[in-house]
Amino acid sequence: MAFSVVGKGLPRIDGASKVRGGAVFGADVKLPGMLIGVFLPSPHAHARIRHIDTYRAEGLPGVKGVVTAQDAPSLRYCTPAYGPSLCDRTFMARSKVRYFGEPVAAVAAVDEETAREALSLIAVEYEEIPAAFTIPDALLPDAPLVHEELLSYQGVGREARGNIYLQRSAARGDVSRGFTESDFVFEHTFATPMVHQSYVEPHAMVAAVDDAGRATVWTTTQAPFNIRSDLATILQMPLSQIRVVPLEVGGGFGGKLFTTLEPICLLLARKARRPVRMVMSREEEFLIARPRAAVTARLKTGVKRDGTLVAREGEFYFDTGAYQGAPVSFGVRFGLGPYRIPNAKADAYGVYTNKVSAGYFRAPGAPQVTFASESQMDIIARELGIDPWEVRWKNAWEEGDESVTGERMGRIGLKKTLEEVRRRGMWRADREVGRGRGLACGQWYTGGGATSACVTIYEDGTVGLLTGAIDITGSRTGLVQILAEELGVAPERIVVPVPDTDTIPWTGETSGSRITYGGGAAVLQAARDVKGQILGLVAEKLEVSAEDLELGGGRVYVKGSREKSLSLGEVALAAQGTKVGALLGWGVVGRLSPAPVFATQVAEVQVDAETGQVEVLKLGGAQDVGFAVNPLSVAGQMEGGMAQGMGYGIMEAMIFFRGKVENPNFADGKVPTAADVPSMATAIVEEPSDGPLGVRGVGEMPIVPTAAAIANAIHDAAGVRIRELPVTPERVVAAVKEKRG
Amino acid sequence: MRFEFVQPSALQEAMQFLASHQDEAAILAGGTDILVQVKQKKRLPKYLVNIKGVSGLDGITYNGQGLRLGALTTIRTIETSPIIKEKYPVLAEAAATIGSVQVRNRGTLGGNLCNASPAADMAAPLIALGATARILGPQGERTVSMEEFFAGPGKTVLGPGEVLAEVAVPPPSPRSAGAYIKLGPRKAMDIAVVGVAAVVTLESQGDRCRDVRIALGSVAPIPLRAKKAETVLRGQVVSYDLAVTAGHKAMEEASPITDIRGSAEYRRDMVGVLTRRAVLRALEAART
Ligand SMILES: Cc1cc2nc3c(=O)[nH]c(=O)nc-3n(C[C@H](O)[C@H](O)[C@H](O)COP(=O)(O)OP(=O)(O)OC[C@H]3O[C@@H](n4cnc5c(N)ncnc54)[C@H](O)[C@@H]3O)c2cc1C
Repeated sequence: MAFSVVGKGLPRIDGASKVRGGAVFGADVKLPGMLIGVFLPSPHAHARIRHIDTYRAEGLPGVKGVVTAQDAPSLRYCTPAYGPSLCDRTFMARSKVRYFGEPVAAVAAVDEETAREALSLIAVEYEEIPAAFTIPDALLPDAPLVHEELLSYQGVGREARGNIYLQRSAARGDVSRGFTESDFVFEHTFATPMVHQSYVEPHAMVAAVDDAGRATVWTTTQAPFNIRSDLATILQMPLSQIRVVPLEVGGGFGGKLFTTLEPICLLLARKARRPVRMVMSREEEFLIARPRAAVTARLKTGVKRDGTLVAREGEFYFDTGAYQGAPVSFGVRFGLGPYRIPNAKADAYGVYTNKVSAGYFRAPGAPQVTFASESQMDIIARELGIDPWEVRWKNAWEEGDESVTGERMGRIGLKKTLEEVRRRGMWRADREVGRGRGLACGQWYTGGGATSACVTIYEDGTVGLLTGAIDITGSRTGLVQILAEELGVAPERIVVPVPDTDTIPWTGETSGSRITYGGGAAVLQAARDVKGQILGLVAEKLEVSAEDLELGGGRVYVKGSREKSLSLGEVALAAQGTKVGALLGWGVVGRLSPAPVFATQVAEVQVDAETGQVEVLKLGGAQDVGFAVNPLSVAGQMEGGMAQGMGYGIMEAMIFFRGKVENPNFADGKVPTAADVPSMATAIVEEPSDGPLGVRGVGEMPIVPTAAAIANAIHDAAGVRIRELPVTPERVVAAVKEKRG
Repeated sequence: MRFEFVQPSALQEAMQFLASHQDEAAILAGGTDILVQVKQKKRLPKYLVNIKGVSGLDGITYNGQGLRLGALTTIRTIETSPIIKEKYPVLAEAAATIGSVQVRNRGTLGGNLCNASPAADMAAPLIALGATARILGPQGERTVSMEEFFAGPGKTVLGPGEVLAEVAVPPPSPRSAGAYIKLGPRKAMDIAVVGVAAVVTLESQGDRCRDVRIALGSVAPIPLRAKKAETVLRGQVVSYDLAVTAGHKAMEEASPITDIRGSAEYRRDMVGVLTRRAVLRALEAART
């Protein structure tokens, strides 16, 4: 099929307004009489709250409201959309604090300075108690319990014990027999740190309550409907009394999926009877937002002499911090790699520690476990003297193969991505002294959450698109392309306002790279709906059969005769006088089956063995995207993912000392600068899925294999294997020293 | 955060104000250090005295007596100045490692030195070049060598009301050259984990090293001159092995601490590596 709009690299339709500063973000919302809200962070990682005295703070001139957990019903909640529905969370610390920074009280005042001064007047009596800071600490038999009452929480699983709140497992074949039948068995442990998403825009929100008690919350979020339901649960308000208005998202990467300060902000607004704005400082972002979980992985793998995988067993410990939220099940799903393994077993555990509560970050869980699994594949290849590419090729999934969780592969593009990195010369044998190349494969999936969309035609021919799908990646440009293609209009003729929870039916959060997939299906459905109405009306008007009509250039033509036509505007106007009334198409798609996604990446590095400094010279990736609706956006996502993956590989980490983040800023919370990002090459593979136009999710995949590819390249260059991220200069030097003895 | 912004138009006025509000007033130059500290409540001055409007603290001059850099000279100016690039490339090299272009456009030489961070990137090369600080104060003028300018983390020898007016660098000797090597995880926007500067001067003929000065950043409470390492090299024909030995001596002189940017052990090791590299690189440049 020949397309005229999809498949083209259109620039982002939201680009200009963001570059010029016109786009409205959370902190841009200003209401008359608005107050500034701030919260009091816990100064302890684990302590009982004996008493909170807010009297003096309330008395400070300019203070209009002070709240603590006592101002809301005493309950624990969870966000069911993010499974496991273990309700362990309170919106504010109630009887004890479980991590350093946990909000204990909050103040709304006429300005930030007054609000912060008021915080210093709140007297909290704490009783410090022993804490568990790391996974090993938390797993000790007599470890302090982060949640003493875990077993009484709603939704707790039978596997919960001590600080383990969740276990997910899967197996096929018989691993112990598999290890016996193997020529070689490899066993290693790998570790990855907690990492913040480092989006540019911090969490920012405004809450206001009207005379009738109805609340509106403007916020930067990937999940307005989940925030609405969380607010209803936490504050025990009817859903109908809450409107959540999502704003432009200045970077989310999963970090903006969760309810953070919204309930506090709303409570303050209610108490002060004035709108309240809360904007996290960068430090607060590091203290209380929801970073990527740290993971410790143990992998045991049995292979034949020729590199064929016989058995693989993985144990993945996810450090979730103080509340559940680590993507434990993804450890099982992705931890063993995209390979044919007859005997496989994966167990993943969610472990509480006294640290900030982890959440989701671009392909939650996958970069962690892929670092482990792909580092070990590299070790195996090198030990066996086989090319790392060959080992992957030999074992890579093809159509019909099954994962440890029983997922059966349909048409997939994994092997094509492997072919592509070789064909394009990203993976090659030659190299210069001191340099090295590393390869890694990775897998992810396309989430299938529900989406609503609505298309209407204005009487001047403008096409209005409303969708509940929040755009964090440029997805709305792709949706516009799909709609433009279907209706035969120029993309510039389409307007896409961002609706809120009052104006669009329920739509799932933006996660799992699902917007062009599920959202695309909803838009296509809505487009076809409205198209049917257009054709019906025009057929009647021109007295032809609808089959003889076609759309193009914003008009409806009679096939073969270009003279007989009506513009879409004319059709919309005509509709007003008929029983059609208005042209309005609806699309609602429910849960779609998840389409698997694969990528192969190659890193080229130079290592200074004396200082340990690693320079990433090149990154190249091939990714199966099903169908590239917008190749420019696809390349942008791939490059962005690799850049972020590089940060994860060599510099990013939240450094904790006794539960306290020691680098809560961008001076010491290192992320790559533009100067650090190397030249990148991207190769798009298109193995169609069953989704709209054959698309697969794009956004998350590219971050998955990068850190492993870089670590493998470092080994290639310097002969040292670093099994803990990030691969800092210091770790490289220590490994070089150890190797030299 | 609340402070009063004082804007003197003459240096005399600034010094008087500073002298009469000793513990309550601080100088504001580019503000890239002090404003951050004020926002983080690490310093709470009642008055910020903006010296950017006073004359006589600006400008670069170069003549037979060497180079004079006004305290208000921006880091970016040092980085891009043709005369500095020609006569003292090590200064331009060090300047280029600071923050980002935006930071370098605002940040000043005086601010970098008077903030007295052990990691200040301009300090080590200036010590290695044998620079001196011209200080003006209520009691008049005095001159202090750069290596004696620092008194501890965040502390200099400046007394009440005293202002760093300019930095003087002696004229470059024939057959001399310098090198500055800074270690940090990124290519920009990094505070040095370790920084080493070396300036080597060769005899008028041959390969013998007539003089050498080495300074270390981020490995002691102050930017430190590594005199023992220098002694190893002075008067010698410097071989690779001798440079290694000098590196070892410098490691002994350093007294690094462990913090989130690096462990003491790593820092000490890097002093050895970077000293050797800086010396060899300066030597190579001095030969040509
Ligand atoms: C993002 C960022 C990155 C940075 N990166 C680096 C880096 O890589 N390397 C590095 O070394 N620094 C770095 N810095 C620190 C800073 O930019 C430099 O030290 C800069 O040169 C300071 O100059 P300033 O004019 O801004 O100083 P100010 O902040 O104005 O002043 C600093 C201190 O010096 C005092 N002072 C200023 N001028 C005088 C004077 N003439 N006499 C007496 N006292 C004076 C002030 O009272 C204050 O205590 C960075 C800062 C930021 C914000």
